[in-house]
Amino acid sequence: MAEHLSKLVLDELAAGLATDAAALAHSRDCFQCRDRLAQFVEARNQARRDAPFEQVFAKLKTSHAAVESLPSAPKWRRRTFVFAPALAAAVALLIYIALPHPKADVTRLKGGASVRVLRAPDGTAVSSARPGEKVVLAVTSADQTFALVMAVEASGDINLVWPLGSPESARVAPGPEARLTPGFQVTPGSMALHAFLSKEPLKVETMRAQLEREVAEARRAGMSPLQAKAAPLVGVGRAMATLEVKPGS
Amino acid sequence: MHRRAVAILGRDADAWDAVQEVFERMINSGSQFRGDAHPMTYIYRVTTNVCLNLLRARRLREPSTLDTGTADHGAAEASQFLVVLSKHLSERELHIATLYFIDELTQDEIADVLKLSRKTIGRELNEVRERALALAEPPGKKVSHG
Repeated sequence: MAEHLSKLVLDELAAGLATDAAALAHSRDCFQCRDRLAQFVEARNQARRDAPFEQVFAKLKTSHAAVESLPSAPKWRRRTFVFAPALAAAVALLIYIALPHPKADVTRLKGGASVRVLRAPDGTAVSSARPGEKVVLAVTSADQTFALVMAVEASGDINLVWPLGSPESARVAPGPEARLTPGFQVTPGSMALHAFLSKEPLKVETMRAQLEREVAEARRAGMSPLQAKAAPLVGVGRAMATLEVKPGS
Repeated sequence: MHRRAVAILGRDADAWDAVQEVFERMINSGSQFRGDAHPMTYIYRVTTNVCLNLLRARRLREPSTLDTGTADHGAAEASQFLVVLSKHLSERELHIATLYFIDELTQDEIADVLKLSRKTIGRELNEVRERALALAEPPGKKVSHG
């Protein structure tokens, strides 16, 4: 990429939405664009520190809580409130959209976030395992602080994997890659692991409902639930990894 | 979003009003936003639309006001430039002018944001440039990225 990055691309990079590998590489290699990107990121951070930011955030919460409470609100309007908590996070201008990669066992999020399956004893990344093996999940969450992982099985069953027994997502340890401990023991049957990353806790049942819709959509398209596509959710980062479970020896 | 709103409107207070309005629109048309292949182009489109509406409203409300209350002189100049252009350009041309002169987007990017063909953008941009040149020197020289 010979030319410099446009403001549109810099905004995408600053928001973690850039997908073009050449643009990502250019932002690392070109000192001019790196500087400009740093300015864009600083502008975003500054906006979040400004007093009006909190006022905008509060107004959005108030106005939409009020409409949400109206029993006669039309269906299409009520549906939008599924996204209201997510949009609260989006006010922070942090929007991460999943970018499924059909051939990879790990789907990376825009902005570099991802979920990986690691073999518990040695931490090796795996895409397949046998029943009984212990694995642990690891997420790269950028600056998202809460994670939730659910497994979709070939049957279409959806189970919470992490944090087990919790009604909502849990805070992950800071750092470039957070391990979601404790891990779990692999049971028979391949699964698609869907990670939801966010700035605010997410309800397990809300995300389960989202996955149910995606599984239904995959079935309508003649695909397996394992191939259900992770739809972008405003304010929620998504990543997916498929774990193929081979028959035990 | 806030950065662009300041660039277009020239006033921080107005920019925050625009941010509020853009988020309202995103909430109320979430499916469009989620369905967009490039969410940032959707955000650009909506932000531009909201900001230009606010700019028009301000022009009607404060016909003689120039850049008072503005922290950024460059942004104020750009904003005034858009006000002048708004009297002479169609709605679509004004959107194109904003994305070209203020955001310095390429023709391909403008086509993506406005969901128009590159050919249409090229044709209308020529007209916009001619009129802009006739009216005033643009506040920001177009930076060509090839």
